[in-house]
Amino acid sequence: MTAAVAVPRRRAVGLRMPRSPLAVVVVVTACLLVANLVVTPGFLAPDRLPGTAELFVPLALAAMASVPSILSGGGGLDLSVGPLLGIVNIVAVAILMPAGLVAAEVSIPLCVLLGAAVGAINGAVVAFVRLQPIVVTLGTYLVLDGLALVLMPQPVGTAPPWAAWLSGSWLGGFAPRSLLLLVAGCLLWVLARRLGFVTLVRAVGSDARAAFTSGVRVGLVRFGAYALGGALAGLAGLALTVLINSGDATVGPQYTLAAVAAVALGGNALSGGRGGIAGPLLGALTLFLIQSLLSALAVSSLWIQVVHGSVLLAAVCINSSIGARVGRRAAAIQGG
Amino acid sequence: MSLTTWSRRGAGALGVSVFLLLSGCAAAEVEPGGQAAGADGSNCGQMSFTAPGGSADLSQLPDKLREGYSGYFAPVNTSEYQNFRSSSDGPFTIGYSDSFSGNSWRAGALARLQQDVATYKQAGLTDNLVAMNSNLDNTLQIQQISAMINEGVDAIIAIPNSPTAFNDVIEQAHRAGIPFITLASHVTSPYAINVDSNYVLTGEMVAGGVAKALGGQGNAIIVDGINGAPASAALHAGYEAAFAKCPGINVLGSVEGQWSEATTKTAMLQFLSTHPTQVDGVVNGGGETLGVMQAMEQVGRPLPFIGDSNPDKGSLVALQKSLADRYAAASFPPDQAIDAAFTVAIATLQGQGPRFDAVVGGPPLVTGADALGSWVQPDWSESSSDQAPASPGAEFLPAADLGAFFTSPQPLPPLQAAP
Repeated sequence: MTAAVAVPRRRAVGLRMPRSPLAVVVVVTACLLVANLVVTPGFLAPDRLPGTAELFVPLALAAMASVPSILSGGGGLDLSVGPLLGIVNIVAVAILMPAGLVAAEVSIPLCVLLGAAVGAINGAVVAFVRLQPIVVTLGTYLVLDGLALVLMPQPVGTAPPWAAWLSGSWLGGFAPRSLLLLVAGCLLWVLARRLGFVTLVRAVGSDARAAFTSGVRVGLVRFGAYALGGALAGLAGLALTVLINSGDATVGPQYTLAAVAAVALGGNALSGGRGGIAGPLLGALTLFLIQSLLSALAVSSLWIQVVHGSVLLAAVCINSSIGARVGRRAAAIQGG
Repeated sequence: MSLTTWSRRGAGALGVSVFLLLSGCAAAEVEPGGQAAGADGSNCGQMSFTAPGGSADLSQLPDKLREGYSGYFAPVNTSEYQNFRSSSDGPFTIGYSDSFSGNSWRAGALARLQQDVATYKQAGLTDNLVAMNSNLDNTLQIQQISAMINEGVDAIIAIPNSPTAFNDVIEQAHRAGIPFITLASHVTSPYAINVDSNYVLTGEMVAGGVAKALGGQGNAIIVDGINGAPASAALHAGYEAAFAKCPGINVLGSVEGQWSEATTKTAMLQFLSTHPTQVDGVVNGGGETLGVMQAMEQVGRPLPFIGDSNPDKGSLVALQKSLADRYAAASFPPDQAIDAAFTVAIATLQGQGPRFDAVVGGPPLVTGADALGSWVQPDWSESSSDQAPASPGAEFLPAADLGAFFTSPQPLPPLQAAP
């Protein structure tokens, strides 16, 4: 019995698994990129790059939007990210435009604020009323999804002018402007890190009690994490508007599960406390590349879901084993 | 009295959605509203042309085809592909992006397209068919269309799941020199050619046929599809327009049958329980005829005159059995619909120059026992909910008619006869 347990352990060491969860994703992403280029040689051609970037950016930002709530621990999770993308899209098209608020410098900040406000509501209920995040955000999911249909029962075909501008590109196609939204999201994250907020969220997520005894205001940090996620979801909603160049109540909700999957793929601990945004961004890229590869191979959409699910399960298994080793090493260092 | 009752009901039932749909057609020749039109009932059951609006000059078409655009819910403009010619001389690769695969209409369309591509492959006109399905996921469908553009297909035929969300990717296709043809789902992009059935006109013809057969006198019920669905709203608008011309027709009300036999039966039973008056005619949106007949039989009332806007095989079998002379039907079968879209795609690639951004047809009205006799096949059963093929001689946009929609039409090899 003891020998049977010992052998696989030794083998696992012999496989030389990459030390960091991120390394696995980097390798997988690179392989998928090559596969895509083999199947579709024009995949990154300058005339196609803006369209490809447009498809990727909402998913990437939605994945980023899911990061802070998960990182904050305590079962943290924001299911309402998808419908929030949808509601931002609809507010931009059906409320801000008729009110004449079409200028980028007005409507873009308003949309980000709207996202932050919805995130703050989630955060307030989770952090101060202390309800289960999964139930709270499921409630918000349903409210936003219903509200989207009430505000826009049928798709509307005009988007603000900034959406058309952002769907363009510079340098003859090599620099798609939609990536500006992704850059804005990253800047927001960098700002939060510089201010020390991300460290606080990690501290709360890995051990809320220890953080509390060190003087961290756990509730306030969690509240802030959901609000930050909401603001990022607001940016994702803008990216969605760029993609569909119109308002459509049915498009947003599909992003929720893809976003959570991207976070898990990226190697962030779903129990909180560990991870950043580089992993989830790569996770989103992996999901995106898988989907475009399957699309290019004309695989049935029904299989796409099966493949997504399998990849997610495999990623979570690999990452949890790496995470456990990282955890053991950290414990050993502390012990030493 | 009755007239004001129905117009108020109509205004409520149609709701904002139809208003939005129709507001795009700020056009000339709009029929005067309900009360003025046919106050004497002299034009009951008659069709009159309502221009759809837009920049297209429909007078270039023969009258019969021009009438197919009457009351179309979207404006019709000059096509962006009028001077287009594919950079390839063929054989062409065709991309087909479907948003849903779960019903017999979509399955029939895909099967027929595969057959069409195979037929033209032998003629050296087509090469491959790249078919994808998005299972109602818009983002995935955009990605699939994007993949087709990357792959360099020559033309894309699509049933997009949204009238607007695809406009950006459609423009990308246009920039890549790939014409984009939609089937039965109009999009607002100027860079698409929409091959579509005119549901407003279909509703108007079917209800007009019923009203005429009833001699312009009697009580009618409207059975809708799914409230809020564009096709259902358009059909409803058509029914209302036709009945408005007949002051003797009293619309008792509308029920929502959801294009389902069982739902229709339940909804009809509920409605009949509170409406003891005689019912002379019932119009429905397709797949609902049997439900109407069963409900009437169950409460022991005589069967009404039936108008069916898109009958399935089972409905036609039931009509032949009990109401062979008391029905009016129009059908929009998948075979001819996809044939039309496919032909438009090939002709556009060859540089034949499509005139308009919408190729719209109103399926011909079929009535009478003789037509039903040649339409219903012996192997059909009353329980079949499969979409019926077109009635012989009443095809939707047959190949011979399609040439008129192009500036320099050239004949294409014939497609195989529909099964």
